[in-house]
Amino acid sequence: MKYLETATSILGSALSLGSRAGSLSAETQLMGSLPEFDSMTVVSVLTMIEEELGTTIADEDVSAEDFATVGAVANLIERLRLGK
Amino acid sequence: MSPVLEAGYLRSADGMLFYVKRRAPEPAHGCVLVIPPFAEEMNKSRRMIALVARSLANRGFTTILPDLVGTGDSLGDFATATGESWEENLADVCDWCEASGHRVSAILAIRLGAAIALRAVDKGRMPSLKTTVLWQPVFDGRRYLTQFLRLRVAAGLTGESKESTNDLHARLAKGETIEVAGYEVSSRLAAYVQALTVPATLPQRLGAVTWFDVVRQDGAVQPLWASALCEAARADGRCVHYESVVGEQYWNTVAISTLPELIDRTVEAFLEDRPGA
Repeated sequence: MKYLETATSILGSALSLGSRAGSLSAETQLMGSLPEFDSMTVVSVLTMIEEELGTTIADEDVSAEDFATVGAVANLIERLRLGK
Repeated sequence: MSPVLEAGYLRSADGMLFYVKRRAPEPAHGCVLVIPPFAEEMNKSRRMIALVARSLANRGFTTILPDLVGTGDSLGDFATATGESWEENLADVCDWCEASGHRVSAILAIRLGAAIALRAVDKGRMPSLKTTVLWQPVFDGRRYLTQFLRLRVAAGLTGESKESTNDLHARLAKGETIEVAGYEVSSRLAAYVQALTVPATLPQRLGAVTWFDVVRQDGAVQPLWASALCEAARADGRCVHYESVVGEQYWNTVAISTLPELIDRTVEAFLEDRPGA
């Protein structure tokens, strides 16, 4: 998964995981499973992705499924990177 | 000796402003005005601001942190606050400091506070400064407002309603006030924020500028718009230093977090005697 490292880094920062960010895997469940993963976290993650890619993300380009797992966030980054 | 902590209210044209002043036990420099970030980012930043103010006091700087009108413990409601009144607040704080013997000679402007400070400086509403330190400045108001409105849209991601930031922008443009994450944002305030744009250069009145960005890892590249602005300011003869600090975005984290390295390097930036222009 191409952007898994970027996704892990962004999620680790947004969730203040510190060194525990290393325990995240593509299968780690986020929204709906991790209590601290709330709407504020979604906003932080999207903002960091915007900074990473130097782009502005349109609302219609994201959905709740994009935050279901760490792997889903990595896929979202790849999709936005490719402009799909 | 410990810094002397003073808190109270000062009179501004738009109402009484709450302030916290930390006086240096052995004053050796001028007063640093801290210009706060927007909405919830300020709550997440308060710990960092307190820590940097304490460190600065120990190195001879007095700091003053006002709650802008309609925010924090100042009078007024967020729903009626305007960007113009916040600019006036900064001018009033500077005047009040001057009258009380602590002339503002430097600012620490945080996030959107940087754009508001720039407007106040451009309008000549603040004195010429010796030093300006920026923490992750925000100048692109339209993008920032969209990110802020996203707080409300993101809440809808898990629910049934699916409103968009475009919908919210449209409602604000029609004159509505919209509640976002507990903050009532008026159409006037939204119009002010989204009219903020990346400046072509940095004014000479800011003095020597040190710009800190918080990055997630070493080797992060300065955003293109930021490097272009720094280069333009340098070409105009300004003294601008850009530095990055690896760490968490303390204004954005779930729990309150701090970044000691940013505090230490900020104190160094204020202590350095760089030519202002």
